[in-house]
Amino acid sequence: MTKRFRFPGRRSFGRKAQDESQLNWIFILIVGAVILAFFTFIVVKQRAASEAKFAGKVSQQLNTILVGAKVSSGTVQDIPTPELSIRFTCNDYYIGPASQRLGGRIVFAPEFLEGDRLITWTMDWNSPFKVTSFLYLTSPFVRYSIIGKSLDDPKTRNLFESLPQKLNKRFFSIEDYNAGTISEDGDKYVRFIFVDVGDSFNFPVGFDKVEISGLTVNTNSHQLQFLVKSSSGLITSGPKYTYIEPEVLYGGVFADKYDNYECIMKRAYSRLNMVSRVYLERLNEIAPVYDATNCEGFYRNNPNLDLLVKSTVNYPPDYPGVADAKVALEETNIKKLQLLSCPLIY
Amino acid sequence: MEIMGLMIIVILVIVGVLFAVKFVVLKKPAEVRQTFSRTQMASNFGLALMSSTTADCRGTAIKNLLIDCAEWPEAGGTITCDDGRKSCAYVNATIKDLLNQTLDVWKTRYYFTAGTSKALDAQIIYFQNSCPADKKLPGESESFFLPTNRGLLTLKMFVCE
Amino acid sequence: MGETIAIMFVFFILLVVGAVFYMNLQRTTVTRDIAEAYDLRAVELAQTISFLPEAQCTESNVVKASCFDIYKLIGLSKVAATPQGRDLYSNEFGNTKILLVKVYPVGGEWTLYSNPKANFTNAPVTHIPIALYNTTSDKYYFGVLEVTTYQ
Repeated sequence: MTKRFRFPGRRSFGRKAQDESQLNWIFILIVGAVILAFFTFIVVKQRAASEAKFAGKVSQQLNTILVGAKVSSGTVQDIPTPELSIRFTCNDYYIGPASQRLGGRIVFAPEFLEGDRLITWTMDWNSPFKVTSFLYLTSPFVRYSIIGKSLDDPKTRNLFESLPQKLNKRFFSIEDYNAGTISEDGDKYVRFIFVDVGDSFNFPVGFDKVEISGLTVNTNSHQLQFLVKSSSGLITSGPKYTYIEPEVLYGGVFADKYDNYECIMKRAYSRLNMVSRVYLERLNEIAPVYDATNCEGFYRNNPNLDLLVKSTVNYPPDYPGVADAKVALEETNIKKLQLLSCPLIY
Repeated sequence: MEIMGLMIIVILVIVGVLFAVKFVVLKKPAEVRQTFSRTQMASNFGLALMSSTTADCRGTAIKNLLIDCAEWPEAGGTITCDDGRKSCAYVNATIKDLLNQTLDVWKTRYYFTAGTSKALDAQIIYFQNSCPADKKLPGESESFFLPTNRGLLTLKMFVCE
Repeated sequence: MGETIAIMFVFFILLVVGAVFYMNLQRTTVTRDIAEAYDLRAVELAQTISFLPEAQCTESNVVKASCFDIYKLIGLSKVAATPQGRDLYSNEFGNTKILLVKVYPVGGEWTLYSNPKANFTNAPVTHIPIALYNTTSDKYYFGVLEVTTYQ
């Protein structure tokens, strides 16, 4: 009480300072919040931008890898990558927000590829001359379970052994599959390839939590059909596709969606049509030089090449026509032209 | 005291700017195409040259003229071309002409040597464009080997950066 | 209060200057990345073209390195000019021009594909020396593959 009367001015000064201090704190809070919001905004934007930049860089590097793999035929590469999730369609592939066009490249891959490693396998597609290179892509986290009539079935074993060693692959009999003795082994995705064992299959026991898909192959009719997961098991999806060369069959093993596979094969056959036309033109150009020689009759309007061109104008191609033309061209090239020392067709 | 704080801030800002300038602005762009071009140029030039057939030297391949020249350098080679020139003179003129029409026109710096020994003065072929073989310059090279009775004939194409 | 506002003012000015500087750095980086991407595309194209099965020399289906068959080139230039050919190759090569020049012996030029961009800013040319094989005379010539990438 006494203090109040002894220093009358001090009370008003103290209140003024107190008010100013409160105002200061409010000001600091507002400005602090604005600055914090600004930097939070910057961090969020930068993070999104750097993620997009990273995805763009990786997709660009993957493109370079794919081009390199395409020109080194017959090779299998195990490429370490950052932890990625890649989505493949027929014409493009996507890594996060970044996408790259596949252009004219023939790439067979599962629709979604995840992991930190990529396995690439390149094979030439000869029909009978080289048409293009097929690039097969997968990851060690995708398991390929090849299922045949028995473990001794030569056709199934042949398919199993022709797939690269680096692939995460297993070989089982249909009895093993039906008995439920196949285990998932911690794989994220399992693809069942049934060889000559029918068209529909029970749901594999113990695979409830694993992504699965399948392919059924008939080696006698040279046909394949895609299988998808359903409540009752693995059922067929899409039409039956004919394959002439094993490289086309491998395409079905690696691609897991029938529409992707069909679109890729459509592009492959359109390339075959184009390359055949180039060969046909080439032979017509060289034909006049060989008139009235031993080599006459093999080049001008070559009927086998003509058949190959006509058989591949539309998709699906005329498979018997393609197969016949192929055999005839091989025979002409090796058995006739080589013997007569004439320029080879291919 | 406040001035000291301000100075520290200014110094930190300057250091930051210098770092940014050094690592972002002054960073050399990756010369992907140029490096690829040099590598392709070096390897493909040699391959295409060796397999080429001569226009007026009995249809002999350049490769065979080079071998002949390397085997008989004292006589200038044993193969006589249509215009009377020996293999060494013919192959020298042809390679010079090819280089003039290609790498020189594209202003590519290079040297091209061919010989059975490493010594520069013992080379049967030596051409260069602002890239002498006796100086160690950065670039891409490709060597090709042909067997002769005087040892391996080494063709070297070096494309300078 | 006045002092705080002054400090804030200086702080925001520094922030704006920093942001402008950062933006400019980003612009430089992006421009360089775009140029690098174009360069990569040019390299990929050159590599794809060098390995075209419809142009490469083959003997019993075995490919000869760095060699194009002249008669295949003639066929290819005809086929690539058809609507189907244009459709297929434009998907593969985009805005490029692919020219083959016979250098030794002099003479001969084949435009395999040409699809220039209307308003291009830059068009770097990649030269690749290549052997050209003539099936009928069984001779090899020295040629150059010129790949112009329109940017």
